[in-house]
Amino acid sequence: MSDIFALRAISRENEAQPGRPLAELDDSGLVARFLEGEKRAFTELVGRYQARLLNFVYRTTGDRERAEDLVQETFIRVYRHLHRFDQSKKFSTWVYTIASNLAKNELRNRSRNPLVLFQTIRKNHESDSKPLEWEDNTYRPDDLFRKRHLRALVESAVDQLPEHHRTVFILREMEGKTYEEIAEITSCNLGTVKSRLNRARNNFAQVIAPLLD
Amino acid sequence: MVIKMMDCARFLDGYSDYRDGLLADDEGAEYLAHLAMCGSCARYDRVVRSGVAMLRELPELEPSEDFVLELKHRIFHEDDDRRRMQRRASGAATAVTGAIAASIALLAWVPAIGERGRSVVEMPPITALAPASVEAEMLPLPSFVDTQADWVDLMREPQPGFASLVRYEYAGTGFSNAEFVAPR
Repeated sequence: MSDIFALRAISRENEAQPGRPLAELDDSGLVARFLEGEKRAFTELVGRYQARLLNFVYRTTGDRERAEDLVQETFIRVYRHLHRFDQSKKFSTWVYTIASNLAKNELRNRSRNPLVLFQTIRKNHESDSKPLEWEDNTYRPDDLFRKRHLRALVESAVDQLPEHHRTVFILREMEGKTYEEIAEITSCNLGTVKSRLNRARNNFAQVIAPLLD
Repeated sequence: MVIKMMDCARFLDGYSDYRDGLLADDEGAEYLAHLAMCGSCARYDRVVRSGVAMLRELPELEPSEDFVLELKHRIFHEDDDRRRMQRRASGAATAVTGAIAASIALLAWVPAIGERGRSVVEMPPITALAPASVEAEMLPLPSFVDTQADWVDLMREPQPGFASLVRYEYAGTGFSNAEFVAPR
């Protein structure tokens, strides 16, 4: 029995890899270093995940400012509860679970509060009506317009998906998560993940098919 | 290898497994064969792939410049709150420990305080004899005489038609008793 404890201690020590630069460590190594008291390891984790989480939450909620608030809240919760994190699990799955739950709560609150919903729609409408930016000079204006228009339509096709389908779709197609990871993040079983993903792809295809032909 | 033909409904049902490469080789071959033959399903596959490709081309959002700064600020407050909670918790623990210690000390001193505060009044011994009238007129009444009593005292003289009151005392116990004794 004592051998098991000794082995666990050795593997944990290896995970932390004292002296190795933080940028070279994987997520579990950073978690171990943070738990040993090295605060910079948390900053490294934030650097790795802030943009990914921001995009994930933004695509789920459709509100950029709110998405940033929710990602901040995600990191605060990670900071607060990291000592309780089961280190045998994948850190990225855990952090996505927290962000996904916060996004889900946000959508639920929004549906209960019509004023918040209205403000979000208005904010998005305002950003939509901004003048076109000429990001690439090799395209002719009509090409650029068409491309941007198509992108907006494809993006809105994702927005039209029901929330539980949209989350699964984004996690798979945009974040590249496995079915098992999606099941853990969304607290669903594998069968549910598969059926939701299939339906989401089907709905997505139906919306965009007329645009892409 | 013989490839079975599948219908469009089956293709659509299992499309996610096909797209995510979760099918065994022979099943994957069935899907490919169906795609080669069915224009509608081939279009479906093309639409999903190109739609997702366009989504992936969308510009990524970058966190605002003050994102990390703001987060650090919040974490500072988080740490500060935690330290304050710990201080409060340790203060409360100290207070509770102190209160328990004080209670124990008080309990230990209470008997001594009690001894010091208690005044003992020494009374002269009381002795009494049963008056002759009781012996003569009232006693012994078998039903009322307490044979255990050391002293009997007549509290009220017998009156015609009224009961007398007799008090018994028991030496060494500090206990007494009183009874009405009916006249004869």
